[in-house]
Amino acid sequence: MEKRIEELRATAIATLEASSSLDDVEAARVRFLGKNGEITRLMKGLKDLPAEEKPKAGQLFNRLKGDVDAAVKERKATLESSQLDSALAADAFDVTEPGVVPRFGSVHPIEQTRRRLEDIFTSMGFMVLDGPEIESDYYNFEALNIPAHHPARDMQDTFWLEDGDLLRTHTSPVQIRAMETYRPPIRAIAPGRVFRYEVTDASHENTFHQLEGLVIDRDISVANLIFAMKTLLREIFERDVQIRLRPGYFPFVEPGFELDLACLICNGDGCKVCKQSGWVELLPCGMVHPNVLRYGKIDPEEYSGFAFGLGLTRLVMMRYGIDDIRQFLAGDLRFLRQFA
Amino acid sequence: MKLSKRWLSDFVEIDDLDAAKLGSILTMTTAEVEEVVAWGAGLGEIRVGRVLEVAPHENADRLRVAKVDVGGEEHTIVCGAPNCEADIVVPVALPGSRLPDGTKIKKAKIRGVASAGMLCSPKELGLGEDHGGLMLLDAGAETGAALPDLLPLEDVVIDIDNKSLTHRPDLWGHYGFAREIAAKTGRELRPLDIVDLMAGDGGIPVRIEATDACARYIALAIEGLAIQPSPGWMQSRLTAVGLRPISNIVDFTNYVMLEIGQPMHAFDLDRVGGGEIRVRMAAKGESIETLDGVARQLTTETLVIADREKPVAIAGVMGGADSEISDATKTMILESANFDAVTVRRTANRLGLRTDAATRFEKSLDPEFARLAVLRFAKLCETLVPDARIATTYTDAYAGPPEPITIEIRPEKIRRRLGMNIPDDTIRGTFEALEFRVEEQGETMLVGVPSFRATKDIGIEEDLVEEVGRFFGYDNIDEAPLRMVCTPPPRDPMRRLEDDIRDALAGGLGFDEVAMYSFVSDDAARDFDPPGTEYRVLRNPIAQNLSRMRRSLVPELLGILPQNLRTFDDLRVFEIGHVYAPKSGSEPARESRELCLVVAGRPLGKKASREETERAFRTAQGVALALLERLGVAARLEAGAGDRFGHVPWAHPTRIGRISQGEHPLGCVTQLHPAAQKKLKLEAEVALAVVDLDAVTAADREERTYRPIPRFPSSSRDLAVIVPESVTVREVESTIRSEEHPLIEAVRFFDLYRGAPIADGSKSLAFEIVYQAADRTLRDDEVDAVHDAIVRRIEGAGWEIRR
Repeated sequence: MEKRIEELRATAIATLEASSSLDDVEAARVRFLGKNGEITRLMKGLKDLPAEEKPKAGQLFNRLKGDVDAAVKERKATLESSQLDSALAADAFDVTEPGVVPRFGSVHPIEQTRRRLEDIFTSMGFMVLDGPEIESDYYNFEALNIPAHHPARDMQDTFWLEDGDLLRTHTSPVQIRAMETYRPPIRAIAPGRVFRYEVTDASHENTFHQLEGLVIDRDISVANLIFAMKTLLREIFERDVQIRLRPGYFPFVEPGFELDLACLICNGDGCKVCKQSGWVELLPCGMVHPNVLRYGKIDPEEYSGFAFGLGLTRLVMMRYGIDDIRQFLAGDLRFLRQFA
Repeated sequence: MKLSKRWLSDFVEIDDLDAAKLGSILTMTTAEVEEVVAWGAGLGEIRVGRVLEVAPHENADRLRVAKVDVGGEEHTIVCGAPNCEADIVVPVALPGSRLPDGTKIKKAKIRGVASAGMLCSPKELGLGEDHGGLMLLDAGAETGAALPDLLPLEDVVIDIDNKSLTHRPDLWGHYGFAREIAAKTGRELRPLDIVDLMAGDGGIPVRIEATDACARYIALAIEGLAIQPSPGWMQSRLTAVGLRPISNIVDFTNYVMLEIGQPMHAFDLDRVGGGEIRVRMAAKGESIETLDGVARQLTTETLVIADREKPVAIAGVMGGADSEISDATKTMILESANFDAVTVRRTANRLGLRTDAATRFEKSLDPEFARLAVLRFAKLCETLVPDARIATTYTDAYAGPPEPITIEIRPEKIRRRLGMNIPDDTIRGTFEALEFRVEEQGETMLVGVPSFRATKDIGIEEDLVEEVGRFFGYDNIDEAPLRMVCTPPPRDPMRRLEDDIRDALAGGLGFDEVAMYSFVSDDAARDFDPPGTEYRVLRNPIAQNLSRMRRSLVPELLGILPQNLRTFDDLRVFEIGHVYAPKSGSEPARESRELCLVVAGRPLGKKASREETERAFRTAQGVALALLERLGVAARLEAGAGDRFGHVPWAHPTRIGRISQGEHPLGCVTQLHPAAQKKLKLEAEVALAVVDLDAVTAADREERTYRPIPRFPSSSRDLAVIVPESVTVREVESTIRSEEHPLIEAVRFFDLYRGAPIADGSKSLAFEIVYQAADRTLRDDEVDAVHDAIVRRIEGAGWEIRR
């Protein structure tokens, strides 16, 4: 009996090892371990054995069944694994073919930068204000200390409407509107579209964007202005910047400044961009003129403030190296889609 | 305005300051320097020559052949200049020499005649733009010398941005700048060289009738001032700063103007009728021919200088042709006056005559300049034209100087405004260097403003803060952080809305944002705005066809489609912008915001299915409504154009719907009208949605609230309904919903079918109806009961269920 068991084991193992497909393995399993399989059939001879041999033979049968079962599983696993390998091999494709690309749209580059600036300023506690694009003479000029027939009106070539209103030449009217609505302390910015009656070329546009800034509180000083401008520019350019203030004349500030930025291209050594001067004129700013505070119903004896006008469009041009300002309003998707 | 370094150095020692340093001092302290350029350099090889004789050129009418003496040697030079004649002394570039621009002069044959060199115009020597003739040198000059030895031309010219001088009437001449440099560098400011002359009878009576418009009028008579060229050094200074030398009298007045900033004018006394000067407003209907030969109509707002009968000059703007100085002039009257800034500015603007004089008067000049200028002119005359006879007194019509300005200021205020601890002594020193008088009274300073700063420039404490700041140097101020206000800033819902739209459309839905001008062209308005649209109109448009402010974003946005569809075949663009409604009856003008989104598909062939032709519309519709939903605004599309879009040329009359929230219109979705599509030569199907963002901001918003996720399964049934073409999805859906049973969770349209076996003129609409109970799994019979009720309603409406 023992001998027959060992023979059957050998046959079963050999059969399994020889099987090359999962079907063969299954057939072998049925042949040896099935209800009418060879092992079962052989086990039926157990009852004919003498009683003293039965326990040992029983053990041998159990081991045989266990071993064959294990061999079936192992062979099955081996075959499955190699089948998977070849299936995987057959699946191979060229991953360098392009994927299914979703097309993101694009937000206009000026709006993108505007939003970045708004984020910077709101994080510093500024509110973001808005004003109409068609303004009255009062808000655009008079309340900003530029009375009728003042030569400073020449500084801003103006589009006049037939009804006497005008297209705002700067975002500064929002200063007055801010003071009419809010009481100090005021920290506000006002980005927006402005207009100048000007012939267009690569560097001049009749429609462009500015970002006005206004801070009013007790004892605001030039030193505060320098701090705020440096902080702002550091955030915008994401690097340390050097600035300088020099006198500039704008009727709604006193003293007034032009703020120059040490050229970011040559670090102030002089290059084509800064016309060898090492400095790039960036924005006009100054301490709010007491007359302007008065127009805004704020007592200049109690409060002082500073204001600045950032050329948003110019900043965008600097940021991306855009050399023709007319691109912004041309509605050409070959330009706009570059900013998706 | 241009400054000559040589000229400045008449008044302050600056030889040791190079061009860069000088430029930097002015930029950082006073005014914006646009450019600093070397002037009159590179002329060392140019020689002085005298033209001996001039003969015609045998082969050319325009050219002549000159024999020129250069240091005793005779040269034959072909010359084309109209003023080439015998006995003039001119700059000569001989063969082998170089012009300042590097051009090397060679011997040449010009139209067959040998020419050994070139006689030079100012332009050829890099001395300005004058190319009208040869540069004329002092007729008595010795020939052969190098040009720079005869004429000290080499200079540094500093170009100042005029805009930065708008508030500084004292800086429209060299002397004012010299004062700033002296104050900044702590050097001495030399006085102006003037004659000592008293006011008196002056030889001509002056009457100021328009006292508001003319504060002072000085007249000085000069006899025997023959018209001839001014000296070479003066010509070269004038040229360096951009003026063309004309003759001694004109040049002297210009020279004094560029030195002090005071414009002057010269009349021929004999041509001033009645020998009397009246300063008055022009009478109605008067006119004058100005020096430029143009007849000008005057108004009662024009200030004029008149003789007994008629105007002889437009005050502060331009003289009259009739009274101009000529060779026949025996007695010249020199006018040096102070005219009202606004009057001059208005007149200059009205006449379009932005002369050097007007530019200065409109800045509010110091009346004291008028006197200084006359005395300076007389000094030039006395020194340079010894034969001239200057009257012993000048007429001075003047009510007296304005009340001096004194400003009381605490140095502490200056320190606080600048945010820098500047000592009292430094503050006082700055004021005094700038000729302010300072008197200290305890904690305050009484600062007396000099007359040349008192007209417009300095009037309040802040002006003094600026003086201290700019001379202390803003660079020397340390930054100081802002103190914190710890409250979140208020936010503007409209701004947030706009950016949310940008995020959704560009970030999620593949739309590109476009920005267009605020103007609508006449063509676009005619083609795409409803007939009879009223606009806000520009008085001075950038081009005649761009005078209207847009009422809608659509017309101009449509205009960019053809160009872009040449490059891209599937467009999704949007614009957010202002539109401008004019005043209408009692409604004031109104500026509002609009969103316009445009969808353009690929061009469709003739065989396109109905579905394909609807695709652009369905996309625009879906995007617009999904966008609003995302913004929390529940809106629906109602069939039809309604009043507002009924006459809009771009709207398709049968493929349009109004977006609305209840009774409130928010916008529309439409396919582009085929006529508009044809006009734009577009083959692609185009649809657009227009949304009034002001209305959206005002619309009701739904706050998001949580609803529990159902614990029991739902059950759904499909229902296909055959209806005539005229019946809308919405009508069928409403009929289904009218069952209003609590188990009906959702009704969703999912398919439309036309064709066999459904009869022509009908269509099948398929809906999925979802049934749900919160507390149990529904039994089939429960669902069937409700569903059957719905079916009865459908059949009740006269429609057929497709089984």
